[in-house]
Amino acid sequence: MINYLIRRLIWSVAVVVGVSVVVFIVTHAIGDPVRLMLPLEATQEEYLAMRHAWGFDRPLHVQFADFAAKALRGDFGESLWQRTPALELVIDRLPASFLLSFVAIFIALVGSIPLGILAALRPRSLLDRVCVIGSLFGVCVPVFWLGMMVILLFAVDLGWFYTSGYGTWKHLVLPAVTLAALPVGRITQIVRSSMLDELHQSYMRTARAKGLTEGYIIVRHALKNASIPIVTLAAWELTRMLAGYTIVVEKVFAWPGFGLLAMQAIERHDLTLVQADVFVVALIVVTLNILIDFIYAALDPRVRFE
Amino acid sequence: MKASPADTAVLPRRAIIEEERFPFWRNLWKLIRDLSRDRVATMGVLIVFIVVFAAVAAPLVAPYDPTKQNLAKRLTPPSWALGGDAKYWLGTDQLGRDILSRIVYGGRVSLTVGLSVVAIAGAFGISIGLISGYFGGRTDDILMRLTDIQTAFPGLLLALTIITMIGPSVRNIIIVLSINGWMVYARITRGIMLSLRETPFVDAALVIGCRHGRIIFRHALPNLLSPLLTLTTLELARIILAEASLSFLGLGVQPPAASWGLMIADGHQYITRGWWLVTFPGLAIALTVFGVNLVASWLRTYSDPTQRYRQIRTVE
Repeated sequence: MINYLIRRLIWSVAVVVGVSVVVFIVTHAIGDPVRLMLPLEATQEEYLAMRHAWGFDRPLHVQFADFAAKALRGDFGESLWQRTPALELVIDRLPASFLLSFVAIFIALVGSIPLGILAALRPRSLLDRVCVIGSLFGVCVPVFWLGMMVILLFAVDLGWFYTSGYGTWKHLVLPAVTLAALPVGRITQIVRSSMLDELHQSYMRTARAKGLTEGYIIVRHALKNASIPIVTLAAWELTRMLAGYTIVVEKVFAWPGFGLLAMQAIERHDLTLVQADVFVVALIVVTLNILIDFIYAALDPRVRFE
Repeated sequence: MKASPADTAVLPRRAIIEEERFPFWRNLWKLIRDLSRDRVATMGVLIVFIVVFAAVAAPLVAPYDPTKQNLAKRLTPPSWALGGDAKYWLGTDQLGRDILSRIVYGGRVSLTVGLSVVAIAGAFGISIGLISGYFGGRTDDILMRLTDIQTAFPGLLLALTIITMIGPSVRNIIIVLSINGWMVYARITRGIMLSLRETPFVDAALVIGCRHGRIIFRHALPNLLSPLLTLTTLELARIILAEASLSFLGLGVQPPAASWGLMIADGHQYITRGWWLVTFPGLAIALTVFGVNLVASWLRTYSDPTQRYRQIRTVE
């Protein structure tokens, strides 16, 4: 158990280090950060002055050592755009993104589990087909487009919710539902297929023979056994949301999370802020991955930490 | 062997041999027959066919030049809607460009990016997976560790960072999406390769003195083709969506060229004045991805009979 934990930790550190190295290489070696940060009309003298002031004229390995040492202490430097420490800016945005993602995954689970079970119970019924085709549509529709469509319908035409912004539940509903659409599709599919597998198992017959009610068998026997892929997928979807989809949804709804911050930083060529943002997201992803492993083991006693 | 009169008596056997010589055509025929029995899959193939045809023959299909502006006609609603113009079926955008023509040309971007990324990422990922699964041991450990690490990267954010540095263009989108997309091929190929490695035909090939490269590519790879084909099709759908997202964020094709994601981004600020600016390109993306997904799910059930009970068949 301890060994397993240590190995997971080493692996996580490797991921975070890997991300930092890639971000460093991309921002320092592939492109020219100074050119990017300076306005287009800057002169050669200004260019050289800035290059020197920011230390971009030093050898790459020296720059990397400096970058790594500071990153370890959580110091990414000041944001060019806001003139405050970049890491703080990112951390300020965390609650908004977390709120959005957790509400979205909650909606997704509440919506998809009953749907998937019903579809698996009556394979090839009308409901099953509607579910399969519907969940396929959830997977096919681009998130940002779906966001605009719900804005058009529920905010512009019906006026039930706000088109964009942050603050009340009226702001939250549309982005959360939009973000939930893709996971609903995928989770419904996995609930359906893993329930189908479980319903064919012989322990189901045994349970029925014992005289248990159908509802009890489905929820306590089949769903419990089917829950491992479901929970794994849901956690994986949450990771993907935090590491990507939120960016697009936050952009559509002007939701002030770290995804929107990343886009703003990119538009303003604020490299320090981009680095801090990517670093924080990598940390979140790694932490979630470890959590997924633990959930996995907690649900399935056969899984041993080795 | 000399031809003897007796040979003519065993004509049926010859016919069989003839047939064996063209397994490709026979398989294709079987494929088409299976497809025609499955209405959902036929729909998928039809959608994909239409999209591909429109993209390839764009100059013939599109009614107008996709970049030609007509400011007098800006924000014209679709022809059937109130205030629509019969000349513009799907209406015009904020610069008076024909939406339908832009959608037709936008399909070219989606397909170019999708197919290139699938080819590059697929070739790389499959090679890694084959090597990893075939040699096993330390090679496998190292390669799979690297794959795991990269899988844990926040892909979209890294893609954004890279494009910010190297500049937005179709070529660069292909590069970043390929960098982000090879891991799933490596994982799946390795998984199948590991079990193939234990089958007798690999040992047999080793015993008769085949080199590793030959065993991997001539013996093992053909056995992997059908699961990989399904995976590739699924990935194509995913990449088309990813390209749309990147274009939407302004990191793909640059104006005035058209891509579906970019059209939606452009229409975003006119959303209250012209719903058609956003709606139709989005429908184009959704339909294309839907079609590709249907084809993928049909390929899966076609190539793996044990999956048949999951098939969404409309004809029993």
